Amino acid sequence: MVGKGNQDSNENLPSDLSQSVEIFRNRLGKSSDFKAREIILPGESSPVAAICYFNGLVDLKSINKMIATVNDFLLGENQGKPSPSSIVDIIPGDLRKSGNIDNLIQAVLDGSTVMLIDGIPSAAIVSLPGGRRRSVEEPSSQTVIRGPKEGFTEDVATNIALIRRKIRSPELRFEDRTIGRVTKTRVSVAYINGIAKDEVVKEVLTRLDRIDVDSILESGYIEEYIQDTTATPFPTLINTERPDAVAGNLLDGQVAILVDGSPFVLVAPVTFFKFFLASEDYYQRYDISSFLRLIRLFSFLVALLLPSLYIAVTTFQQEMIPTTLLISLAAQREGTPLPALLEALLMELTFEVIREAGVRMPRVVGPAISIVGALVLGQAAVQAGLVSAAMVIIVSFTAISNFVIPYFSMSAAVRLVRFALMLLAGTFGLYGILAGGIPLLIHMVSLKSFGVPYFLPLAPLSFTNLKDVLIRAPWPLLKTRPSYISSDNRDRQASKKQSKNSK
Amino acid sequence: MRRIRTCCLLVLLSLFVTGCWNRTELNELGITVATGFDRENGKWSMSYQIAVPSAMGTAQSGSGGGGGGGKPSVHVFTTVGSSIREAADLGYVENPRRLYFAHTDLLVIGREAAEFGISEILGLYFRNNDARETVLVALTDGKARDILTKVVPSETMPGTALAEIIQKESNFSSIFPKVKVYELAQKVLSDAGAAGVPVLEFTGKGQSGMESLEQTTSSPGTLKLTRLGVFHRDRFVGWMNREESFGISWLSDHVKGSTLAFGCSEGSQEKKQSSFRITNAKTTVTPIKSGEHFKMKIKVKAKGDLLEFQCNGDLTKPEVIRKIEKTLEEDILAIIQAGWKASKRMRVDLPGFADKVHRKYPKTWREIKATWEDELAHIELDTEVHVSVQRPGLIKKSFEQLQKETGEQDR
Repeated sequence: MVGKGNQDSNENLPSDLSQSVEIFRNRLGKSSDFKAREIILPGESSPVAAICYFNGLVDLKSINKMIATVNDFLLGENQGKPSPSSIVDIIPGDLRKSGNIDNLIQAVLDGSTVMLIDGIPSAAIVSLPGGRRRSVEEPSSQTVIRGPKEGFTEDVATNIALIRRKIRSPELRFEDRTIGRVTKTRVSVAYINGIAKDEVVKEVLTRLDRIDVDSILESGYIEEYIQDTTATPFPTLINTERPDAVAGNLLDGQVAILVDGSPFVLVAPVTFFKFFLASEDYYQRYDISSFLRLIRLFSFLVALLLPSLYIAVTTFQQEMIPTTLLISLAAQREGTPLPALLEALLMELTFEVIREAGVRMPRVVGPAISIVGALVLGQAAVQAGLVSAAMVIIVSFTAISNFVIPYFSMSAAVRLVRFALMLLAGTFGLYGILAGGIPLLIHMVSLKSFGVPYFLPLAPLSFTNLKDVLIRAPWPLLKTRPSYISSDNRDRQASKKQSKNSK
Repeated sequence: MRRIRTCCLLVLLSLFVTGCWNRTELNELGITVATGFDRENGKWSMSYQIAVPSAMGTAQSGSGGGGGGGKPSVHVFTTVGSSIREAADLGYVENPRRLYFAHTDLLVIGREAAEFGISEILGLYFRNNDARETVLVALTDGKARDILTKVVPSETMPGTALAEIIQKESNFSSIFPKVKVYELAQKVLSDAGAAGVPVLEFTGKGQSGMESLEQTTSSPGTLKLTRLGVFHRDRFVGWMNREESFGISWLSDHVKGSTLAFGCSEGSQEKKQSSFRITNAKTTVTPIKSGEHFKMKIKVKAKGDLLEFQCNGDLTKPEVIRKIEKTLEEDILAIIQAGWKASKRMRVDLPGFADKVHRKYPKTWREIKATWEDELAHIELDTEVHVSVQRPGLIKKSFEQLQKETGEQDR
C-alpha cells in the first residue's frame, strides 16, 4: 500500500513494546484521535501487547472482542508466558504481518488496526473497518423511474462490491492505485478482461500513474488529470452515481475509475452521444426509449441555440418570422428598454444566479428563493415592462431543456457555449450563429477520449453501431457491442445460427 | 495558451461590436402591411399601411399605456416624390420607424398610376431584396390611398385581410384570379403581354373612414372585389365584369374551385335555383392552324358535387345526372364565350394564347408577332366542356318533389 511520493525509510520496528508505541505516537504527532490500547495481564507491570488504531475508523466492538480473545488465550490453558508470536495466530480476521514502521503507520491511517506485541520486531495488521459511513442510498443526481435505486457511496470498497454484485464474472477485474502524496487516496480501475480493450486499460493506468499531486479529494481531480484535452468545455469522461450505469458501460468495454471518498465514478472512453443515454433507456421499452433519446438531443439543440436564434431572428432576420408572430413579438417589445441581446443576456445571467443560489442555499430558505425567482424576476419584470414576455418564455424553455441532458457535465458545457453563441448572434445574426456553430462542430469532431473520436459512430460514420445511438433498437437486435469501444469480443448474444447448433 | 487568449479577446471584442452594423430591434421596425401606389401631378405618391403593434390585443399592459383600447391597429401615411424610392425615403420626415417591406401582403395600384404604367413598380420589386415578389396585387378605380385607409371589420390588419380576401376568392370562387407581383411581371413580359388584376372597390354609401365603421355591426359600405382590371403591357386598358372575368379564368386554367348556379333545363337563364360546386377543373388549350388564322381547341374538364337541386328527376338515374351535366356544360361554355368576346373587344390576349402559338408554331409566330392584336379577332374557339357530377348528395330527389309525391299519396 505504499504509494508514490512516499519517503520510504525502511525503518524497522524495535522489539521493545513501549519503544514501538512511542515511535507511533511521535510519528503521528500525538494526534488526539490516535489510540494505543495496551493489554496488561493481571499481576504484571508491563503490557504484553498494544492495539493501535484511529478512533472512528475502526469497529470498537470487534476490537474489544479481539482483546477479550487475546486475554482468554493468555490467561487460559497456556498458563505462564506463551511465546508472543503465537498471539498472532489466534487473532481472528484478515491479517497481515509487517515489521516496517512506515507500512504499519500507513495501515493505521488506512483504517486498519495494528497489534504490537512485546518482544518481537513485527506487528499484525488486522482489518477491522468500522465507524460511521453513509449507507447505500438512491442517487440524488441521476434518478430513474424504472431501474435499480441504489447509488454509489463514498466508500470505494462498498462501490466495488456494488459493481461486483451486478457482474459476477471472474473476468471483472479491479486494479488499485494510491494517488495523492498527502491524501493517499485509493483509486480503483475496473474493467472486464476480454471485453475492454487492453490498450485502453493500459492507457488509463499509465495516465493514473503519471498523476503526482498531494491530494485527490474527488473524482473530478482525476478527471482533469487524465482527460485528453483540457481546452474544451465538453467533458471527455462520464461521471455517474449509478452502479447499473457503470456495469452497463463496463459490459460495453469501457473502463471505470472509482475514487475513494467520492460517489461519482468516472467512465472512459466516452463519445458525445453517450451523454444522452440514460441507464433507464435499457430498462424501458425500446420505442419510448428511442423517442426519449431524440427528445434529449432536441433539448440539447434548444438549450444551445434557442436564445441565440431568437436574438438573431428578431434583430437581424425579421423576414424569417411569420407576419402574425412578428407583430405579436413586436407588440411585446413595445416599450422594453433594452436591445434583445442585452435582454437575453440579462435574463440568462439572472437564471444562472438563481440556479446557483438554488444549489448553494440552505435547504430551509428554498421556498423563499423560488418565490423571489419565479414571481419577482419573471412576472414582475414583464409587468414592469423591463423584459418582454417572449424572452421570459425563451429563457425558461432553454433552462428546462438544459435539465433534460442526463449528465450534468454536458449540460454545464452547453451553458457556457450558449453565452458565446448569444454574443455572436447579437453581433452578426444568423451568420454569427453559423460562424460560431461550425467551428464548434469542428472542435467537437476533433475531440478524442482515450483515443476514441468524440463523435463516433456518426463521424466517422459506422452504420452497424448506430443501433444504440440516436435510437435504441430492441434488445434482441443489439447483437454486438459497440465496435469502437470494445475489444474483438463483440458478441452480446448468440447469433441465430449458433443457438440452433447448440440445440 | 496564446490561442485561447486570442479567442477570449475576440469574444470580448465582439461585445463592443454589438449595436452597430444592421441590427434593428423589433420596436424600431415599421412593419408595412400594405402599400399603395398613386400618381399625383406627375409624381409618385406612396401610401403605407403600417402595423401599430402596441394597439394589438397582445400588447403588454404597463407598456404603451395599456395597449388595445380604441387605438386603430394600423397607421396610414402618404409621401410624394418623383421616384418611388425617393418617395419612400421621404417618409422619414414624418415616420420614426424604419419602413420594413418584407412582410407586406398587398400592393394596391391606383387608377392613375395604372394608366401611367406599372413597369417602375415592378422594377422596384425585382431590384430590391427587402420587397417580396410574392405580394398580391390589386387595382382600384380611384386612389390606392383610399383603399388603405378603410377598415375591414373583424380584422385587426386591413391590408392582411384584403390579401386574404383575394386569396380566398381565388381559391373558392375563381372569378378574379389572384395575381402576385412576379406573376404580373411574367404576364406583362410574356408574348401575350396581357394581365388581369382584381379590382378592389369601396361600395355602398357612407364616408366610412376608420372611425365611422367602428361602432356598427354591419357597415354601410364595404371593400369588395368587383371587377377585373386589364393591363396590356404595363398600361391599364380597361375593365372586365364578373362574368367576363370568370370566362377568362376558365380559359387561362385558373379555376380552382367555384360554385355555379344552374337551371332545370338547358339554356334557361331564369330560375337558376340549383347549384354545383366545382372541386376540380382543368383547361387545356391547343392552337391549331386553320388556313391563314388560328383555331383554339379548348378542352375543359370539371368535376364537382351537387350542393342544391330543385328540379324534378331521380338522381339515382344516370340520365338525370347526364342532363345536369349537360346544363352545366352549356353554362360554362357561355361563360367562356363571354370572356373571350370581352377579350377580343379590348384587343388584348388575356387567356395567353400567344405563348401557346409561339411554342407550337415558332416560325409562324415570328411573322404574326407584330400583328398579333389584329390576329386575335380571327381566332376561333372550338370549346369542348366536360362536367362530371361526382357526388349528388345524400338525398335522391328535390324536397319540392318529395312534397308533391307525398301529397299525391295522401289523396
